[in-house]
Amino acid sequence: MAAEKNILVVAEATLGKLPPATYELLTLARRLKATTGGALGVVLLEEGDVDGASALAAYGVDVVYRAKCADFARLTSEARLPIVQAACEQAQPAVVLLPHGVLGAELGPRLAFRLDGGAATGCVDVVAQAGSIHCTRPCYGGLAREEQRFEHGPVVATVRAGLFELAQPQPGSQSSIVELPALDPSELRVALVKRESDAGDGPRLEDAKVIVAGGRGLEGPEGFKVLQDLAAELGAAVGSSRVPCDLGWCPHSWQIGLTGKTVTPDLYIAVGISGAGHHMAGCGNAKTIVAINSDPEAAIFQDARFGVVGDYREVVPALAAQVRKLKQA
Amino acid sequence: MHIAVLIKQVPNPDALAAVMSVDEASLKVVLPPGHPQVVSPFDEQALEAALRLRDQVGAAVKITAVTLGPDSARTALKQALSLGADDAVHIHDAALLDADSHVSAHALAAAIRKLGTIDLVLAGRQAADFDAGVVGLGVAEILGVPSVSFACGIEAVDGGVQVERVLQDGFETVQVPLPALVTISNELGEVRKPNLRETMRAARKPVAAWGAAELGLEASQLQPRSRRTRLFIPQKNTQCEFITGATAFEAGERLAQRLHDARVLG
Ligand SMILES: Cc1cc2nc3c(=O)[nH]c(=O)nc-3n(C[C@H](O)[C@H](O)[C@H](O)COP(=O)(O)OP(=O)(O)OC[C@H]3O[C@@H](n4cnc5c(N)ncnc54)[C@H](O)[C@@H]3O)c2cc1C
Ligand SMILES: Nc1ncnc2c1ncn2[C@@H]1O[C@H](COP(=O)(O)O)[C@@H](O)[C@H]1O
Repeated sequence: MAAEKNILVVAEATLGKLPPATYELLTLARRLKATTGGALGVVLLEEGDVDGASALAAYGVDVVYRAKCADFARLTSEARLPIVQAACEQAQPAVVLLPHGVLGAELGPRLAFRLDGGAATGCVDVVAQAGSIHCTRPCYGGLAREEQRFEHGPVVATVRAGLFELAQPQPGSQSSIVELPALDPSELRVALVKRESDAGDGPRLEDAKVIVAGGRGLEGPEGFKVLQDLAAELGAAVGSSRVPCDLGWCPHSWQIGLTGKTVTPDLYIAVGISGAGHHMAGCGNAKTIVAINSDPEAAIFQDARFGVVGDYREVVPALAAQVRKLKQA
Repeated sequence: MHIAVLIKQVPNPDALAAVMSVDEASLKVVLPPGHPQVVSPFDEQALEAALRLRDQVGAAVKITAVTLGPDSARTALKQALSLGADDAVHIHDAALLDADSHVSAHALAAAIRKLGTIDLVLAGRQAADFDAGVVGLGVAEILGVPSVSFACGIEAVDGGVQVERVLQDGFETVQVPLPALVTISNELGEVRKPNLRETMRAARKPVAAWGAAELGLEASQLQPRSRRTRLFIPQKNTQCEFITGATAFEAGERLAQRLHDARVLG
């Protein structure tokens, strides 16, 4: 069946821009397309008058399925489901790729059941092999990995951030545009009452090149002040393990890990974090991990490239002060 | 209001690292004998959410705990009953023991249909074994009801429920009419402990055992969509270089120098 070779990426343009996740998914999608020989489509959810479709044309996308909506950002994933479903009916994909965020994690499984296909969430890899699709994903709190084989699709896969390079434009590529029917807001059942952000104004964890993260070992909210001083020297974002979030020492949006954010900085400094699989699932792909922990046996040292055994109250200010000196030199 | 809470029994996910291995041939996780089986933590919180709704609304809230699993999963139902669930359903069938997300969702959805008038289905955001987060949403899709995921708070309002949910960078509040399915996240907070009175009563609360035939599952619904082809523990090959000093302070200073020399400070 020729049609079942096609790859479909779900992308959302907000504030006039496609997120990095879209370009990561395009890299994966192009690799899948090279194996299956099918067509690469993108379902583009566009807010307002943004022209994301022409931005995509340069990236080896064959068809852009476009839906416009004045305020996607105010709608939950329910609103996107019929649109992506309509695109799937036209594109007949073997694989649908979505980012594994709050939207994708709800939309993906629902779409899979609606299409009577299979769902694979939080994938770290998707390959096409001998007529089936294989998805690799962490399980058991990040301690293990499983590979699943899907024989009949479509396979709807949500993919973790930061694992694939950003796609580069391909010379000479062209795409056609298919307009999808507009959303009928009267069909929506989930209504937004209010939304509040708890992210600070520092660099976003998802984009940060350097992250300083704290855990239960900080022993209280004041510990984050110590981390913030270091982060300021390094131009770093501040994150945390789940414990400080649960204890209210820091905002929930700082949580890194299996059920928090997936981050891939160049440098990850873990302070007072034991290194549970659940936590490492969110930061294990950082290029260099540095651990500061008073327990020489802490599991985090198995993941760290550099480590200091000691009380963070002494180690971190010394590190910050010395970084400042090195910068000035 | 009749609430069904979907609870799955899993190996206790805390401190698994030290004891867990995998058998790559049988594709099974290997745990030491006696490693405790517990209600998956997010499902405990889903039950807690149901109990909080009853605290809010009153005795008119009926709570049914539903599990799909082997004999041992009965313990999970007993726990739910001793926490305050009114009755329980154990989906129990050799044909369903290795159910994937697809088969599990069809079996659970069929059980909810069989229960009749369910207003609200609560599930965990993901089961703490394979961490999929698929089954609850699949049940919503099969039942054709709206879903709200990653809830950290839920209360009854006129004509439905108001749900607070966790976003990547904050929170949002939504309203949804019933029937609906809501998946619960850990931000819901602490769960209550079983109390003596409920534990005593639990022994007399009804537990139904239903098989695939009683649920009227068709062959296509029993057909898995995926097969596990590998299960492995990723190798760690990082060697940690410990930076030391006469004092922790000095070690911190030396760490800065070492990171600078390794050109990782940017
Ligand atoms: C289903 C599930 C999902 C989960 N999801 C996540 C997730 O997404 N993210 C996450 O992080 N966790 C998650 N967890 C929790 C996870 O299992 C661990 O419990 C958690 O990561 C531990 O946090 P921690 O390392 O901060 O605390 P601990 O494990 O208590 O470690 C504290 C560390 O601080 C060190 N320390 C103490 N004092 C000092 C000091 N003065 N100076 C330096 N070091 C010190 C200690 O030696 C210790 O190693 C999840 C758990 C479950 C069951
Ligand atoms: N076998 C099961 N029995 C009861 N509920 C389940 C079962 N499997 C999954 N669930 C529910 O669906 C949620 C998501 O599971 P999963 O998709 O396996 O991560 C869980 O938190 C449970 O609420």
